Amino acid sequence: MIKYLIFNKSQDSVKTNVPGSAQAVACEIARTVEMKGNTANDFIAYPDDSSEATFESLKAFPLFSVELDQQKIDIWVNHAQPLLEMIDNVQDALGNAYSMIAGAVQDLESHCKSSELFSDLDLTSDMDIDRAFDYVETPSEDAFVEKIIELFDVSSFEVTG
Amino acid sequence: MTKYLIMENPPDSGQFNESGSREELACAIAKVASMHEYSADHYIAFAVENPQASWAFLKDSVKYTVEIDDERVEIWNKEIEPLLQNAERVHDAIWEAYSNIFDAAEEFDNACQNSRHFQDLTLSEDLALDSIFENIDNTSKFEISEKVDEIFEVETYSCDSN
Repeated sequence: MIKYLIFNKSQDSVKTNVPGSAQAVACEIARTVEMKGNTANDFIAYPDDSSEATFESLKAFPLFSVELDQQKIDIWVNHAQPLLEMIDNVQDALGNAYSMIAGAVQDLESHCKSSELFSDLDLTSDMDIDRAFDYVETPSEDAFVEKIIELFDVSSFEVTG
Repeated sequence: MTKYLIMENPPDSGQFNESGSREELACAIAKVASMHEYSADHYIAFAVENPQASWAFLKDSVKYTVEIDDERVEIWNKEIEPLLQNAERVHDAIWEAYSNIFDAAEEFDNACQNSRHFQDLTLSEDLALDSIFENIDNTSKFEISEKVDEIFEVETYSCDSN
């Protein structure tokens, strides 16, 4: 089992994690746990006993550490990553649902307003779409992240002061 | 102004409303009034002076009557049909949105159930999808139906059992 330290990658850095490598997986895990919309390329990972990790630590504190072996890498690639894409699909479906319904309702409202006969008809005031979608919560994303933290022994380092 | 009597059209009756006729329009109005997704041939209509209309009255099979003249035909074509299409689009959008979210959540749940490591995760229950959509109270069909009843003087003669 190797522990990887994950750092924020500076914007001018040309370093990249080799796609498919343990370091790349470590950065994927970091961006998942971080939940701030960053990509894996916004991070860089090094084994904790490497000179690169020591050198990088002199410049900035690591954000996360992750423990990986081949079995865990397989779990990430074959199980966790597909589930992450499915959570994204649910988020997309929720976002599209709102705009799809709101667009159709707006067309109906415009039609009524421009009609001589139906301008007094109130067809949409009961359709409180904003309120409906305020209720949407996807707590499973949090539950999923908790599971990832547990499975991959993720530690977060908070810089205080 | 002509009054039309509308009754249910049994599938084996062999009778159909002529396409583009006022009888066909009378049945379309009845469909809006009943707020059901019936097929175009679910009802058949006869003008009140048609002998078949008297026969239908005798058999007590009249479901609706509507009153149509040229002006009302124009209202239907220019105002009501496009409004109904827009209302249908809202209905379709709600249904499509619901099923897209449901399918995506179900895919996640199924994948979790088949995974040794993520078996205890679910999404569908947590999403409470039904309560989201309960808040989108789409009453447009009901409102339009009331207005159509008023314009075409729709009378309902018996409870629609379907």
